[in-house]
Amino acid sequence: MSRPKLTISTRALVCQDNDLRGEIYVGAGTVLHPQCKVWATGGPIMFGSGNIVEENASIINRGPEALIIGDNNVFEVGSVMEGMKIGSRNTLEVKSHVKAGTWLGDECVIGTVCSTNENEILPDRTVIYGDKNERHIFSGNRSNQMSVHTRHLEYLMQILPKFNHARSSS
Amino acid sequence: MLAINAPPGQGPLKQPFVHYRCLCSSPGAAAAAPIAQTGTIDPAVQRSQGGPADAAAVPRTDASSAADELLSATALAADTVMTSASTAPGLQHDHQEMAQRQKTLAEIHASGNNSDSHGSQSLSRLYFCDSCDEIRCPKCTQDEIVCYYCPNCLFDVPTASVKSEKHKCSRNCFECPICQNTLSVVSEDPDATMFQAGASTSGQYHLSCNMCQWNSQEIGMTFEKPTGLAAQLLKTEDSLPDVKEFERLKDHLEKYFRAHSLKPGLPSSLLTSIQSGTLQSLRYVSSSSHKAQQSDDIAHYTPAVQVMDDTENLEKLMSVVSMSETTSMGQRLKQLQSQTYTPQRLQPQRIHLRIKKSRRCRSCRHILVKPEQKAQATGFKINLIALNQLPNITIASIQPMIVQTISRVILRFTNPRHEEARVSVQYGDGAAPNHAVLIHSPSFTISPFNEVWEYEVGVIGAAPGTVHEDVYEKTANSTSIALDITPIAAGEVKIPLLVTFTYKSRKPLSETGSPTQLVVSSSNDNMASETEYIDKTVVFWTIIGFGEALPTLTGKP
Repeated sequence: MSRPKLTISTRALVCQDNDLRGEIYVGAGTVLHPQCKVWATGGPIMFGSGNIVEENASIINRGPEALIIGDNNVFEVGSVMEGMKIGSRNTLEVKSHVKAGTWLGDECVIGTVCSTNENEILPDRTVIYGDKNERHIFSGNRSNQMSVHTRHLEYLMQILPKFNHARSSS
Repeated sequence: MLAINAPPGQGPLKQPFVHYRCLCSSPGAAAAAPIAQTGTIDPAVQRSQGGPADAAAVPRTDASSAADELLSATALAADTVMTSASTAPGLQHDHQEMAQRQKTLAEIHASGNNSDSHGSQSLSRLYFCDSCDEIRCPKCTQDEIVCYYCPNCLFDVPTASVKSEKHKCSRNCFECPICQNTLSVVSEDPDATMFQAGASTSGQYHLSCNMCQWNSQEIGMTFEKPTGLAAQLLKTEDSLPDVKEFERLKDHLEKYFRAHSLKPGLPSSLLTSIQSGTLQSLRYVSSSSHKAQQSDDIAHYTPAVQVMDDTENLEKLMSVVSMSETTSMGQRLKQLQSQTYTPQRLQPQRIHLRIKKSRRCRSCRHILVKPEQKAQATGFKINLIALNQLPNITIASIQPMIVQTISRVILRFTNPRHEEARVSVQYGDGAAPNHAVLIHSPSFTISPFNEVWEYEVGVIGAAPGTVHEDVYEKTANSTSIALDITPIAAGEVKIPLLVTFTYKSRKPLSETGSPTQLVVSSSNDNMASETEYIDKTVVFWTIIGFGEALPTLTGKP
């Protein structure tokens, strides 16, 4: 397998022991945990700033176009992202699945073990939850969530390098 | 354990099962049923006259308080049984009892000798009353409420205040109106809670759901303090027109009740009568209806709130395009006071209280299951479940059933007791399609249960010193026997098996009545003369299903 073509910002943290393939750009403040899977097999994957990709999360880009990931998204443990586009401040909870061709807006939450349909466009602030993939449009404010997210990032930046080796641009 | 694939083109295949029959619901032949009924009651009556047998079953609370681990609980439950050996004094009494038992055995035999699995249940759902020596099912036991608690904050709610709090948690526990998940109280500014509690702006706290991201700010609900939210919410709850109307109606009717010197609160009196385990509730209902006939002079009630026409709702609902614009049935049923159709008007609900229940044997009134009083404690003070006392029968291996073909089945009997047990198995000949069944070793022993075996790996031979029997396999505390079954007709193969389970039980110490220790080899001390073992025999029916019998293979004559 060919080595991945990585472009990593100096302020990002990309751990080793993960599965990166293809052409990947990682923006400032983004954290890729060990054991995550980012496959840019079809086209490049570009991370914005402040994203978190946890263990066993997969981000796959099969299409010819680039997959552009916005800022401050969280891909939790075991989530699968195969969509076409993802905005900012989204949360993919544990084992959630964004299917191929889906467009995610901003501030969406895909709940635990929930999935989207293929080739659909989710408007901003969509929440998918429950065992029947119920949806509603979230209308509160997420300032609380954002402050939790920044503290989460700070903590990871502090702790992860102590126990993991980081990759640099190739 | 057993995976038998359904043949193509047929319905779901009947899965193998092992069910135990409780005599209270023995379907039996019509003639057999009433005899079985008396059979179940008679020994109980006799025992309760016996006296000491009753006292022996008094729960041991001191030792069981520490029993929160499953293992020790298992040990204890088995232990408790030992204390209640039959203590019939004198030979005369013994004879009587023997005769009684003989009669009962015949009745038991008659009652369950069929292959109808109706009313029989798996062992895990049954209880075993150690003073009646009989299997008890949920139908012939009685529930009693031990305590009320909130499942979220695990606060024990005193019974007196349950009604006034409307059976809901009156502290800080709420469930989401959208997805019924538990809500959490969050602050607008997450740092503010740490150090500037005094400088809180109005409406700083709100409720938020971690599952569907619902937020009480959506419906304009915020709080100034993070504690005592239920009291703050209660005001809005009570001001709803429907709640007011109900209160008014209740006041109106209570006047009538009081005038006839009846207790005003119907639910509370019903509740206490249920709790005290008496049948006064029946008496109460009959007397109230009697009174109602006497004087039918309730003043006409005029509602304060007029129910508005539903046309407005109808029009709104007609224009709904997506399901998220209206509330679901479940959401409306959770909000009985308002039952609104617009999701914006859904309110967070206080969490319903739960109860802990104890179970009592209906015939001898002894308690079979009694949980700890505290909500936090998960153990049981008394736990006479059948799983701890009767041999657990499992199907260890099975061959597909084919009509007129012998198939070998291995049944494994596991002894949960700390004493060696003897089991004999008999095939009931009253089964509807009387399949040919050959039991290879109909009577055998099972080694006692020992905690040490739980941790051992691999197959352990029988305990040293035991007599080798002609059984299929004998491991730690289980014995397997082989059955050859020849189904005579297609369809589900269900066979009734009469199991006679004989185990050694200790006579309780006569004067001290102290709880018996676990049976260990070192118990042969100077008390040996008093703590002698007596045999106890329990006879019960089981129904074992072996799945569907396939017709004889096609092509053969």
